[in-house]
Amino acid sequence: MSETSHYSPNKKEKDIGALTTAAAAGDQRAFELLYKEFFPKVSRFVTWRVNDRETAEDLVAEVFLKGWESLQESNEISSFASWIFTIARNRVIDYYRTKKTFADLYELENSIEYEDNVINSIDLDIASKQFLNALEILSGDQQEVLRLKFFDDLENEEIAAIMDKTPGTVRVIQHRAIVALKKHLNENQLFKK
Amino acid sequence: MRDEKTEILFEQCLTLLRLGRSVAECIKIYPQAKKIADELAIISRLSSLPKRTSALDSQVVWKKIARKISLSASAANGRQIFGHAQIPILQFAFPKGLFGLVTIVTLAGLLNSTAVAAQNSLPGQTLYPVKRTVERIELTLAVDEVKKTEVKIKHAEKRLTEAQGIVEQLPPEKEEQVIGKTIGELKNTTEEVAKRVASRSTDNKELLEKVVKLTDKQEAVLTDLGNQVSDDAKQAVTEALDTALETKSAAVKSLAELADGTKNGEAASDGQTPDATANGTSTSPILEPQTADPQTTPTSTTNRLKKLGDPNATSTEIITPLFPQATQTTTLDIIELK
Repeated sequence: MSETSHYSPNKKEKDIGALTTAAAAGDQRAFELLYKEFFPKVSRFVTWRVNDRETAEDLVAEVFLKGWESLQESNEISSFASWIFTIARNRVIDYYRTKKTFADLYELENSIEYEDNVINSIDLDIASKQFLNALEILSGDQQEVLRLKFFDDLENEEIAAIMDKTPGTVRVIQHRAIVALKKHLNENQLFKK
Repeated sequence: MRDEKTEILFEQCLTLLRLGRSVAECIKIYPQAKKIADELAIISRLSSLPKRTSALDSQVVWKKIARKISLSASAANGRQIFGHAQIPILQFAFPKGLFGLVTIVTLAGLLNSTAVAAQNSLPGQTLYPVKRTVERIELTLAVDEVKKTEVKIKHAEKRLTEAQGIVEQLPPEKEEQVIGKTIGELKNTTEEVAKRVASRSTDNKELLEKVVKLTDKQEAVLTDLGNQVSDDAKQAVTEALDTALETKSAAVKSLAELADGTKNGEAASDGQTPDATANGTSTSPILEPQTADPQTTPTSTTNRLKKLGDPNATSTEIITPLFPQATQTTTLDIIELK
């Protein structure tokens, strides 16, 4: 992974790098392949932060279009993943700014009430519900990292772009979140291995 | 914080857990991970929770993006030329007599920019008639029959690209309106190419190779499109595919005859008499004329490959690489190789 020095890029990352270079040279087919790779994650990220389906469709289209335009204008895009999620984050924030509601992604994240949606609509076992409720004891950043990582299925680099932090910081937040969660679960005897 | 070694171990186990493996499995693979088993148990729990999903349709969103990318590319082309055309508008820098000329140049630039911008248009779009007019002029300006055939080949390639563009970029209702007609025009243009090539007694190797390349591409794209278009358009796609295969078969046959002629000529000039010529058959296993048994008559790249003893290879595998611009293996390459 490009986020730390001790990881070397895997084949998938190399492919994405090659596709990014080709797309930056104007190859639309390469960009379509990048789109296919990142659409599931980007659309999930946007859909869960914008309630309206049509608006979400427009925003996702705008995110990738902006990605294409940026590729044509800049030769300094080292990581497409990081770039596209930065655009997605900014686009979602802009959307709420134009609606004159709130523009803070953390507030937005908390307003989504993932737990309400999932806990009530899906038949989770009691242990899972307790576990989800336990996430409430974590700090805002810690909750957001875990949500983006495990509910949105994103990588540290992508989370870093969304949260405007470095991948290293994301890893530290994740580590502290897990340690805090372990402590809380142990103290309340909720921890089952 | 953990040390770097534990951090790597944690990330590796994390990857496995996110892929649905258990903590026990991780520890079995990485015994040192036992010391972080509690943390891995939490990760395992988090990984097993339901994921957020998106109900958006990837194809619908891509059509929106592709349309805008195409438009911005057209606009960029237009801007590039329009930009040059605008320079003479600085009329004060020119003597009065030159201003008329400058105006003409500017107008020509504007017309040119429209024509260039039209090149990326699709059937049903405003600039499409301009594109077709440019094509008609192009055909009229072609000086001889070979040039005219080359222009027709180019036009057939454009119809094919348009058919792809229609499916990828236009909204479904618009696609319904124009896809059948475009495929029909592709078929007609390919038939015209076939007729022109046949009427020239197939003595132009370069032209025949272009026809084979064209039909190779048509085969790949139309096969792909057949799975994407509506039932109404499927019939047109099938007919166009048949025409492409027939045209390719005829072109490959002509190339084979041409190659045989060259080979025999070379052999004769070396003072040798090819057995096959004596027997009235071809010496080339790949390029032998296909006239006798319909069972053995190759009509596609696949059949040709099977004749070469490679029954597992298929035409699609050969002509649709992941990066078409990087790998250009076609029927022609196969003929050359063999």
